[in-house]
Order: sequence, then C-alpha cells, then structure tokens
Amino acid sequence: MLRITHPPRADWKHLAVEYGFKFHTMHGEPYWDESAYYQFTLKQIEQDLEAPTAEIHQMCLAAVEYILKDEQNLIKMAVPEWAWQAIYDAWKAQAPSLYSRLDFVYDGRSCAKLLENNADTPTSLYEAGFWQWLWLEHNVDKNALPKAADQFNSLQEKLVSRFKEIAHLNQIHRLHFSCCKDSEEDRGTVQYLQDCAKEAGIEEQFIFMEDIGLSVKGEFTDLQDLVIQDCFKLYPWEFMLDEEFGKEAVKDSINWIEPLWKTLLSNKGLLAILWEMFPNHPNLLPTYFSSPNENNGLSGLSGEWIKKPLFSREGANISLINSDQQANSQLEITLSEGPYGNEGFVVQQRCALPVFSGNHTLIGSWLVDDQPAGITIREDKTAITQDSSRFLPHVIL
Amino acid sequence: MAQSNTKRSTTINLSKMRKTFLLKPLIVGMSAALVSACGNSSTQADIYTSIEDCIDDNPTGESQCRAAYQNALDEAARTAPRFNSEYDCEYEFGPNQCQRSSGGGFFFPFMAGYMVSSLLSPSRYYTQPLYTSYSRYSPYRSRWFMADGHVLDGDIRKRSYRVNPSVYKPKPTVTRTMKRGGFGSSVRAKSSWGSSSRSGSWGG
Repeated sequence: MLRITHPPRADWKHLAVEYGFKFHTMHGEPYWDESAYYQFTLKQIEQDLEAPTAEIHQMCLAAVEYILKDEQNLIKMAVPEWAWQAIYDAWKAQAPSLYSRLDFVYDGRSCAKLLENNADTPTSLYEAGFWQWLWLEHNVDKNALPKAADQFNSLQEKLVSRFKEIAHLNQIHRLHFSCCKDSEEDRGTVQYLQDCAKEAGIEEQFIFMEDIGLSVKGEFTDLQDLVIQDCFKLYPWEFMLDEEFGKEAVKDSINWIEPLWKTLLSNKGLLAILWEMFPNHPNLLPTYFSSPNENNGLSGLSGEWIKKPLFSREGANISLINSDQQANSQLEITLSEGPYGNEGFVVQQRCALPVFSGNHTLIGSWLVDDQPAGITIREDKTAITQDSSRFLPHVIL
Repeated sequence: MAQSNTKRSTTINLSKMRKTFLLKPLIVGMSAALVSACGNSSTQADIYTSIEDCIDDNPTGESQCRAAYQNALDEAARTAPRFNSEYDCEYEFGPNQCQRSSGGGFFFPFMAGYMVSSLLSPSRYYTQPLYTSYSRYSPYRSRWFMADGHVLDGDIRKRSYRVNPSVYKPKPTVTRTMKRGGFGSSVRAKSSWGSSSRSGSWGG
C-alpha cells in the first residue's frame, strides 16, 4: 500500500461538469483529490480487505439475529421499543438490502480493523463506483498509468444487477428515490443510484424526504399524489423513526431500501455486540457499551479509547478517553463537536489511522448485498475522518 | 465478454452517465413517452369507446367486452389523474369531460376509451383505460393517452395499434395526500448546530 503523487488530468473539472459530478469541491475545499493515488497489491486487496469484508458482513447478519433474541440488546442500542416488532418482521421477511460500506483502519501490513458499518445510508458511492473508475480508464488510455493497472471496484455492475434482483423480489413497478433538500452530495449519490436502477430496467422517480406525503389511507405519496410503494431513501432510519411519519414508515404498505433491519447494523452498538459475539476476532477492535456510572464501561481496562455516539454521522461527537486502571483515573478529551450523543455511546479501543505523507487514511470497503464490491479511500489532515475529508482514487498493481 | 481477471467494472456505458442535458421537467401524467409502434415483441391492441363498440368488433365476445370495460373502469378509478377543482380538470381535458369523485374530494376525467389485447384468448386478455382531451390548451387534444402519460401516436380516429405489452403494466395508484412534511425534522434540528451552513451529507 503506497501513496503515489500523480498529475491530475488537465480537463477533469470539465469532465465533472459533463458527468454531473457537482460536489468535487465542498466548503471551498477540494473533496475529490487526484493529485495522488494509492497503490495496492492484489494480495492486499483480496486477502486483507475483500475476504474480511465478506466475513464481517456474515458476522453482522448473525448479529442481527443475536440482537433480536434479547430485548436487553435493543435497550442498550437505544432502539425505540415501539419499532422492535417491525424490525423483527422486516428481518424475518428477509427484506432485501442493497448496499453497505465497512470502514477500516488498514496500513497495508496489519489486519484491517473495523471502525464501523455504514449499513443504512452510505455515501461516497458515485465517486467510488464511477468517478474513480473513469479516472483509471483515462489515465490508462493516455499511458499515464500502466495497462496492467486494475482497481477494486465492481460497484456499478453489482448495483445494477442487485437492483434487478430487488425489483424481482419486491415486485417493483416503479421505484421512488429520496434524500433531504440542501445536500448536493446526497442528491448526487441518489442520482447515481437512480442511474443504476434505470440501467436495471426500473422506472424511477425522485422526491425529497421533506415532500413525501401521507394519504387518507396511510400510504406515502409523491408530489403527483401517486402512492409510493417502493422507496430508496438516503436518510437514516433513526431519524425517520424519531419523526412524525415514523409510525407509518414501519408499516408493511411500503418497502424501503435499505430495509428497516439495517438500522441495527448502522447503530454503533453493533460494534459492542460483534465484540461480545466474536471476541478477539482479528478484524475487530474491543468495543463496549459505555455506561456513565461505570467508568464509561471501561472498568478494569486501561489504554486509549474512542467514545462515539450510538447514532452519529460523519465523525461527529467523538472523544478520546485515557483510562488508567492503576491510578483509577480517566481523562476525556473532546475530539469533535456535534449534535449527537443523547441516546448513549460505545467505547472502542483506539486504533490510529495510518499516516501517509501527513495524511490520515481511512479505507471504506463496499458491499452490494453480501458481495464485496470495491473500496473508497478518504484522507484527512486530522485523525478523524469527517465529511470534509478528501477522496482519493486507487489502483491495483 | 467480461474479462474474468479484472476486479473492476467492465461494462459501464459512458454515454448513459453523461449529465450535461439532465435537466428535465417532472410533470408526470403528461410526459410525452410515445408508445412504440414497432419492435418485435409488440402485440395487437384495439381501442373501443363503449361496450357496444367492442361487441360489434367481437360478436362472440360479449362477456369479455363487458368484463374488460369494467376492469378498465376500475383501473381508471384507481389511477386516473386527479384535480382539486373541476376548473383545473376541465382546463386539461375540456368542458364537461370531468366528474366528481364518489367521496367528493376531487375531480377526474371520464374514461374516453379502453384498449384491449387478446380479448378472445383462452388464457387472459389485457385491458387499460384511455383518456383524451378536448381542451384547446392541451397538447394531448384529440390524442389517446394513458394515466401515466403514455401518448399513442395518431389521433383518436386511430383505433388499432401494435403496442409493446408493457403498456398493460399496472399504473401507480393515485390517492389524496392529507399531509406532507412528516420527514426531515431531525435534519432541521441538527442543522441548527454548528456555525456554517451545511451542504454535506446526512449519510456517512
């Protein structure tokens, strides 16, 4: 795993306009960054990332079953009680899932360690599935990279074929797509999924979450008053459950992608559950539910721990705990601010991101259903990956 | 054939990924998707404006004609374009072309005809309600079209078509929306945190 500086394509911003990639620059800072790329060996990709991704996904499916067997788990994960039955029903009905992204600490040598599972609303999909693919094609075409250069990235093909399967399983005639207003990034991600669905032969229609209506009969409606039967939402389940239409959202008159059971996998409590089920698994970090009364859940444990909210997005509300058992002391330092944390926290053993040329590098490993499908690389000048972190392409050589 | 030894997509169609001309109006029910008159999977379709019209054409199929008409009518009740006022409906469909819903809450156009395929087939027939407009404001004046906006070529005098069987796919149910805005409050609450206005993601 190497970080190699490389000249950007002279015309890439024109190409971004041509292909509708509108969020390559965010908050005035570059987001897409092709001034360098990462290079992996095929062995690193297949053994260190692809295989663990497939295995952890299976462990996560086992975790859903495990969580649903004991309501104590649901309580610890702050899942609202009224939604338990609906989550159970969605799981038992095997409501199909589209995609997920596992975030790993990986330096090219040690075992990849799972930081979290973005199972409900993963983004950076267009950049990964299409835009970095195009970057490689262009560079190979003009001999700026060797012909043999490959990329771990079958996202687009797998998304199209998974859409075909889901359309068949859910008997979809028309699929609505939704996200919130005022986020170019989310809208771009959803547009990409609409393109994939269209390629799969599905009729698609977009509506903003804020515009979704509720009919007299309790069906969801679009702005033309058509019933929304099937909907992809790039909007977190824990928000939906908390909102006015939450009770209607879990009824079986509508099929959501991602399905309701995936809320258990995007909850950071999953990480504590996985450690409980598979202690010392080489790809997991020790993680516990944090209870404020018992030294943040770290009684008997020393070292550096990262405390994260059960529900949190883009690296918000993270703190670092220095726990010294002998001195019976704990020092908590806030690393990032944010609006989350009311529902509780987990503490995860600190595992620092590797640093390449002064950049802290995170690997996002994609799954389409249960198939590993590629990676996203994010870099940040700081140790926490946030939505301002830059996206870099990669090659396999 | 895909190369078996590559770990990246091999079949991305670049022309479909271009977005330069993406902007398109979102007016469902009135988009001008023409039903293709060619293609090898097309099927024969006939349009009738009444049960009698159908029986004249299919003397041995009286019961099928009645059933197909009723099915189309039921389908129309479920999927017809809906309007809040008679004025809005008549603006699109012409004077006296609209009726009040049985619940009284909205107006919708009369079914102007119904399209059938394989009416006398022993397996099953296909039927679909059709509309036309008598309004001089409508681009669909004197054309046949379906609830989802499919417009048939030719004018309403044309009664026989070759159509793709997909035109018989069920159209989405139309209903009445009581309330909007029940999603999105978490984002409004969380957006008020922090100093800069947010344009990033609510995903992760």
